[in-house]
Order: sequence, then C-alpha cells, then structure tokens
Amino acid sequence: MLDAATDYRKYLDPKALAKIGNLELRARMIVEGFFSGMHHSPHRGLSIEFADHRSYVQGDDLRHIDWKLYGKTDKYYIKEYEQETNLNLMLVVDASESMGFQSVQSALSKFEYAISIAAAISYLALQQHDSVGLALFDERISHFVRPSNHPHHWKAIVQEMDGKVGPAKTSMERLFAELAERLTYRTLIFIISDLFDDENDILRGLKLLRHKRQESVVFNLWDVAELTFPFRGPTKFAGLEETGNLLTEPGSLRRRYLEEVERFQTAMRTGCGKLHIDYVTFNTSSPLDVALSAYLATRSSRIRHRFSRVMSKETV
Amino acid sequence: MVTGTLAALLEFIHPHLAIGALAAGLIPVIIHLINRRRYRRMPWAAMSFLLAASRRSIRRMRMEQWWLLLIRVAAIILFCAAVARPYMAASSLPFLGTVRSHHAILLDNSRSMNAVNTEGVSRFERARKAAEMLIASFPETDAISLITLAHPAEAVIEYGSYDRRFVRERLASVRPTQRITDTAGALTEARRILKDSDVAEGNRAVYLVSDLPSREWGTGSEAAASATIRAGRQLTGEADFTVLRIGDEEGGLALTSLMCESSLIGVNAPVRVLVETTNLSKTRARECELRLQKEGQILRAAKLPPIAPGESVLTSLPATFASPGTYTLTARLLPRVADALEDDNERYLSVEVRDTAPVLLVDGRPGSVPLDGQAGYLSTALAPRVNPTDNTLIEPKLITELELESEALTDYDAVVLCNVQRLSPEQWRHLQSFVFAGGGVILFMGDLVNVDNYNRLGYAEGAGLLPGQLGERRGGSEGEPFTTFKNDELRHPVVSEFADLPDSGLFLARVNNYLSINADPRRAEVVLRYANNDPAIVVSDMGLGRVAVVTTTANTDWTNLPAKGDYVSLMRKLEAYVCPPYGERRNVLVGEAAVEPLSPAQASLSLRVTTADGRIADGKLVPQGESLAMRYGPIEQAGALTFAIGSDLVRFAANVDPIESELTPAAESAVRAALGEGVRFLTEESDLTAPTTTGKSSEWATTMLYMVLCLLLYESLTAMRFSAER
Repeated sequence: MLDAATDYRKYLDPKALAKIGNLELRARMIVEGFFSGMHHSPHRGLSIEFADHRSYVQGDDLRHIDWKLYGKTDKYYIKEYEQETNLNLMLVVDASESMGFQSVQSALSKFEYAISIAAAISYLALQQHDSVGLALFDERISHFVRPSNHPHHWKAIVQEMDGKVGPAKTSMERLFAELAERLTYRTLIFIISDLFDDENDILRGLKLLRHKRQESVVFNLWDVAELTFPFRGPTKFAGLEETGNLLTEPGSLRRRYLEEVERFQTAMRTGCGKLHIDYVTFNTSSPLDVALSAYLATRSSRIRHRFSRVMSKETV
Repeated sequence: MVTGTLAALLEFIHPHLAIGALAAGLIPVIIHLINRRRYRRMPWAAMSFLLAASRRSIRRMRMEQWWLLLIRVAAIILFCAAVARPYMAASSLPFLGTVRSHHAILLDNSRSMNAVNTEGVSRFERARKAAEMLIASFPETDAISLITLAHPAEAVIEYGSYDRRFVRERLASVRPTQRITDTAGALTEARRILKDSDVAEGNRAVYLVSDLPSREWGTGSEAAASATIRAGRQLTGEADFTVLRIGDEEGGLALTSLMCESSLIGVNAPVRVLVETTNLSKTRARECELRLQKEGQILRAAKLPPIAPGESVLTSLPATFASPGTYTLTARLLPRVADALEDDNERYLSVEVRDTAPVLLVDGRPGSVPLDGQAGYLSTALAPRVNPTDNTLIEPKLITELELESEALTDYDAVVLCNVQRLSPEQWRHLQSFVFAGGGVILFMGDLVNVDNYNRLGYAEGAGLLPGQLGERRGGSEGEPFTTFKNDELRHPVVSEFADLPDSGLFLARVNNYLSINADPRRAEVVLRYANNDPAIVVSDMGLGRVAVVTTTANTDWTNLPAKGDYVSLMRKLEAYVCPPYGERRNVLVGEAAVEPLSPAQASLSLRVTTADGRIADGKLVPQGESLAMRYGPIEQAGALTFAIGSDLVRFAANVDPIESELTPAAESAVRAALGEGVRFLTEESDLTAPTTTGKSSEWATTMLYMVLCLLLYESLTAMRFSAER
C-alpha cells in the first residue's frame, strides 16, 4: 500500500498532471506532492523582524540563541521572529505560439508546463507571504498582474494564465525593456519561456533588467522532441511563429540540429552566468518539483543573504 | 571513352529487356520523387535551430543523396542489363565474360538412313556415332538440342540441355524409321529453338548429320528443295552451320508402284495388277523374278528383264477374286536382292472386292420413261444392261426427291442428286455426314434447282457440303447461244484420258445452260471448265469421302453431252472418283494412319489391329464427321495390317515412300549453293567437332551480377557511414 507521501509525489509527473484539467488543483497537487517528500513544514519560515523569546530546547539552531540575553540571565533563549512578506516575485510566462507546441512524447505542451510551474510557485510563494505578480507575454506583455501577498491573489493569477497561448511571435528584448519600466522596486523575476528568440536579444534584455537591479531566474522550457529530435522519414516541418517550412530527411539533420540546440543552451548558460542569473533548462517530460526546488533554493539564498546583512548590522 | 567503346560492343540476348533496364534505372529516381511527395507534416517550434542545421548540412546532404541515388540507379541498371543477358566479342576483355554456346544437332533417321555399307553398318548408326563424338567435344557449359529429320521433324530435346547423360540417353532412344526426310521441317524447328535460346547470338550452332537426299537440295522436287533451301538460308544467317554428309552407297532395284488397273473390282471379274520396278543404281540390274502373292499364296510370277540404270519396268499381272472382301496383295523381288536398302524390294496393296456397288439416284423431275429424267440417263450410263437380267457391278436405284427422306444413305456407295429443287437442313446434314464417313455425292444442276437453298444450306459459307457457291444461270453468248467444254488443263484423273483426244465427243458437246459456281479455293478443285473458263465440274475431299458438282444437267435439257459416246466414260470416271473403292484409301504410306469408318453397330464390337510385324494392338475409336471410325497410327513399318472389327477383317497396306529409295546424295556444291559459302561441309565423321570459340561472344551476365552485389554492399556501407556521420 502506498503511503500518503508517495501518493502525492506521483502528481509531480507531467503525465499524471495532464489528466488534471483545473490549473488550481494542479498547482496544489504539485506543491503538496513536492512537500510530502520533505520532512518539514513549508509554513514555518524564517523572518527578520524579532517577535519573542522562548527557552532553548535541545535541537534548536545555535545561531538563533540570544547571546546578549544569555549574558544578562545566564540562560539560553531563542529569538523568534515575526513572519512578514520579504520577497516580490514576478512570474513572467511566455504565451507565444511556439509555447503551444506539444510532441506526441509529451503529456503537456510547453505553455501548460509553464503555467503549471507558475501556478505552483505562486501558490507556494503566497503560502510564504511573498508577493507574487504575473506577466504573460509574446511580442509584448499581454497580461500584467501586479505583485500582491493577499491570499486571494493566487486565484487571480491562475485565472489570468489559464489558456492564454496566442499566435504571436516571441520578442524578448522588447519584453525586458517593458518589464524594466514597469517594475520600479526590487523584484525576483522568474522568466518561464522556450526562449525561441535571438540569444543576443535575450541576453541584452536580461542585462537591462540586471542593470535596473532586478534579480532574474530563467526557466528555459523544452519539449522532449526538441531535445532529442527523434523523427525518421521525409518530414515537412511547418515552423510556428512564421518561421517558414522545411521538407527534409530528419535523420540526416539530427546531429547538426542537436549541436545547434546545445550551442544555444551553452550560450545562454554562459551569458546568464556572467550576469549572475540562474539559467535552468526544463524538459516538459520531467517532474515539476525541480522548478519548485529552484524557487525555494533561490528564495533561501536571497533571505539568507538579507539575514546575514541584518545580523551583521545588529552585531555592529 | 572506354565506356563508350564498351557500350558499342555490348549486345543483348533479350534486347527488349535491355531497354527495360534503362527504364528500370528510373525506378530509384521515381521512388525519390514519390517520397518527396509522400511526407508527413509536423508543426515545429524550434525552427530556427532546424534551419540553421539545414543551412550547415544542405550541401553535404545533397552530395550524399546524389551519390546514393547514383549507386542505386547503377545497381538496378546493371541488374536488369544482366537479366537481358549482355554479350560481346569473346576477344574483348576475355577474362571477364563467359563463352557459352547452344548446339542443335539435326540427326537424320529417315528411311534412306537404313542403307548399309559394304561392312553392314547403316548410315544411321554412323550418324549416331558421329553425334555422340560431337556431344563429347562440347564444353560442359554448352546447351544441346536434338532434332530428328524423319517426317514430321521432331525436337527430341527442345530446350537446350546441359545434362550430358540425358542427352546421350535421348540420342540412344532415337530409332531409324521408314519415313521420308523432312529437312525443311527440322531446319525450321532448329531455327525456332535457337531463336528462343538464351545464349548470345554468335554462339549458336547447327549440325546437320544426314545423307542429304539430292531431291531436297535443288536436284529433285522443286517444292522440297525450295523449302529446305529457304529454311537453311534463314538459319545460316543466325548460327554456325555444319553439314556432315553420311554415306555414298548407291540405290538398287526398288518396287516403286503397285496398283490395280481398275479401281472397282468385282467378284470373279479379271483385274490386272500393275507393278513398277525401278533401277535406282548406276549399273544395269540383273534379271530377277517378280512374284505376286495374296495373303501369302503365290498368285502370279514374272521374269523381269535386266533394267538399265534409272529405268523403270511396268509389269501387268492378272488376278481374280472368288469372293467379296478385302485382300492384301504383296509384290516381291526374288531372289533376295542384296542392295543397300532392302525394304523397297517388297510392296503391298489392299484391294476390296465387291459383289455390288449400290448407287442412289435422286431425280427432281423423273420422267415417265427412264430417259425422260436426268437419273435415267445416268443409270443407263453407269449400269448399261443389254438385257434386264444382266448383272452389273454398279447397282443404281432411282428415287424421287420425296422418297429421299426414307432412304438409309449408308446402304449406298454414292448418292447422286439430279435437278433436285431443295433439301431440308436435316437432309443437307445427313448428306454431309455420309460424305465424311467415306461416301460420295454428285450434284447435277437443272431448272428446278433453288440456288438460294443450295447456297444457304448446302454451301453454308464454306462449312457445308457444296465445294462452292452457286451463281446465276448462264449460257452461250449472243452470237453463239451455247458454250463448250474447254480442251485444256485436263490433268485431273476424271478427265485426263481426254487430254490426248481433241476430237472427243466431250469437246464437241454443246452446253446451252449451266449454273455458274464460285469454287471455294480452300478445298475445291476444278476438274473441267467451259470454254469461257467457268467451272463445269468441281470436286472436293471431305472427311473420308468426296463430293462433286456438275454445273449442267445429266440429261439433254441443258447440254447434248449425254448424246455423245464419251458421256458414259466421263460419268463412270466421275462416279469411280467420287466414291472410290474402300481399298484405295486402305493403302497408306508409312507415317500415315489407317482409318476405317464404322457403323453404329460396329462401334460396340471389339476392335483389334494386327500390325505388319505381327503385334496385336487395340484400335482407337475416333469421331468421323457425325459417325465413328477405327484408327491406328501413325504406322511405323511397311506391311499388311489387319483390322478385326468383331468377326469382320479389314486389310490395310502400308508402303514406304519410293522417293526415299533414291540414295544419291546432294553434291557439296549444291549444298554450298543452297546455304552459302559460310557453311562447314564435312564428309568424314571424325571431322565433326565443335567450332572454335574464335569469333564467338562472351556473356557478361554473371560478371554483372557480381558487380550488382558489390554495388549493393557498397551502397549499404556508404549509407551506414553517412548515417553515422549525421
């Protein structure tokens, strides 16, 4: 008999998720499934505003012992902090035509995968009292939801994303310029896209965001067929986003194609690395917990970074 | 340049397949084009990467595709070309091709090949030994066909055989026969076989091993010679031709004819038997005795004088027969003549002795006295009686048109229709069956004859009884209201006796009226014509019987011929021709079949045949028109045969054809004149070997198939290498 943890984790598999049509339910499943595999609650976060002291018990982190109070009372007390919204998240989801691609090997289209990731992250983020906003884009930002940490905000985000893929092309440079204008405060931007645009334009756009002191994480989505190119026999490839047609024998192009994909990913990884931007590639056939892990890892590193700064101020 | 030279030298055994090979070379191209049209459609997002990959690979891919296409096209063209069996001169690139030949051996096993030399060895045995040596000299890769020359020429091994044991067995199974030579047929058969052969055209050879009868090579019968020469010339252009002439023995005395003077023989009526003896040697024959036997009993004997070379002597021997029936007469030269060919020193004759010959005369307008109607005149001519009680062999019976229905035709030897107006379809059919079964029918015209009925049912567009289509009634011209019979071209036996009698009553007779007839050239023969060249008497063979049409009347209504003395002679000749004594067709040649019509009652009796060599065999029941007949044959040995139909005995005589007794061979010059100087003419058996391979063609099919295999292997490896590089 399967235990509850195993039962939930199976919903991280895109094949299983594809059977769940409702995006809200899908997002909840992802988050529950993700955390059912961990041993601590997501609701116990760390904040930086002091709330109260409690007695030290065995197993508490020594870093949180209030040493000043120990000097006064000769007893160990642990500082407890009040939870508060400390991150602004902006989920930037690509809704261009290319995101609608779905091969027979994949259970979800890239867009479905992208909004599943976005919904799950936003759900988790709101649980952590982070502010979450949304931007859907193709050639430009088509839908924009300002970040908020209100619990009901999640439904608005989910409704905004559901089924919004369109026929337009991707234009990343213009998107980043528009984002840079709209986001006036420091925001953690999750860009979820197949990035089918000129790599130099993309990197230029990311550089602009970086210049505006915005932090970014790039989730590059790929359909499994785009990564393996498994086709045989004469095939006419009809390009989405008005990129033209090509009649060819795919087997003869496979090696070169994969080289091109690898070259692009390498260029993106290198370019993002130089800008201190996380670049993560996703295969739409792989489980979605990777995305949530990436979010939490980024969040932790950011909070730890701030915490260490606060602590250093207190010490001073 | 090398390729061009090669192509110019290369020829094909099946050139149409070579054209197909070129067309087949388009198959990979067509498949490629079809595949370009048959593709699946795939929406694709990562198009920029694909286009970039395509831009980088397009040149190399095209080169690879063209190269693979070229290999495939070459492989298919080579394969189809190999099937078309290419060949070229054996001297060109000899190490790559294979020289393979097809030999057709034409072995003469006709009667003349039974002639023996002074050592007692027959021509046939020498010919067979030469053929055995020839076969032994052929390479194992060569195909051999074997054709015998005895008429009709027969392919003993039709398709070239590579199995030497089989060839030797078939050669050993060939027996000498008493049939005539069919050189033209054998050459035609050889041509057909070699034409279908699967070896290169230059590698076909014919070996004619024969005694080369002179009559077939321009010095005898024109028809036989022209047929042989025509067939031989066609073959010399298509194959190496070698002729081995076997035997130079002379012929000797031969019985070349045995017949009765009269075709209708009555009981106790004296008949003369005519025997022709010919000296076919080049020296004067010595005296000998000619003996005539009946069923083994000596009837007569006569001394033959010495006969000069090439001369014939006709001996007439009287004979009488005491009872009706069929008899076999044997003429024999004694003492036993020791010449090269012995089977022509005997000859056989089957005769039928009748006590009566009934003839049915049907008159469309019988008179009150016999000479009023046409049948009356005929009856008087065929059976003249001084006294009413006189016996005559021919027994005419006069009836009217209405009485014909109730008569059984099989009771008569012949039926004569005189001025009969019309017959029902059933009556026409019965008459036709009667003729098929061996009866004779003569039709005389008259003013009552309904031309439409005769043409529609009697001629029936060539399928009926009449040998021609009747036309309008004609007579003399305006200045001369009558015509006469033409005194010319009187070669037919019915009228041949009048050829030397220009003052005969036949040519003095006037014909006022006659019906024109358009004789069917496929089966009719015009016996006698009018002065204006219109046919007067037309005859035709049909089954075992004959039919004749006389286009005028049998009495004096339309012609005064019946008033002439020659009328009787002409009518009796015509009657005898149309209803020949059964004995005449019971004399057959070796190679023909003996056929005896049977009545329905006889068909259920036991049918046995005693052959010339004493064997007893079952007779075969075959359809003959609407009735049945007993058949045995073709007969392979000369002599007397007896058909036992129940308790009745019917005797047949089978004779050899006398033309085979002429042993003079054709001269080398005659053969060369007939076949051209390119022919290899040999007279010694030991010289008969296969020609050298010089000038022969070598076949490339095997080499090409190896090349195809190599190409396919190379194509697979190349395709794999290209795939691996991708």
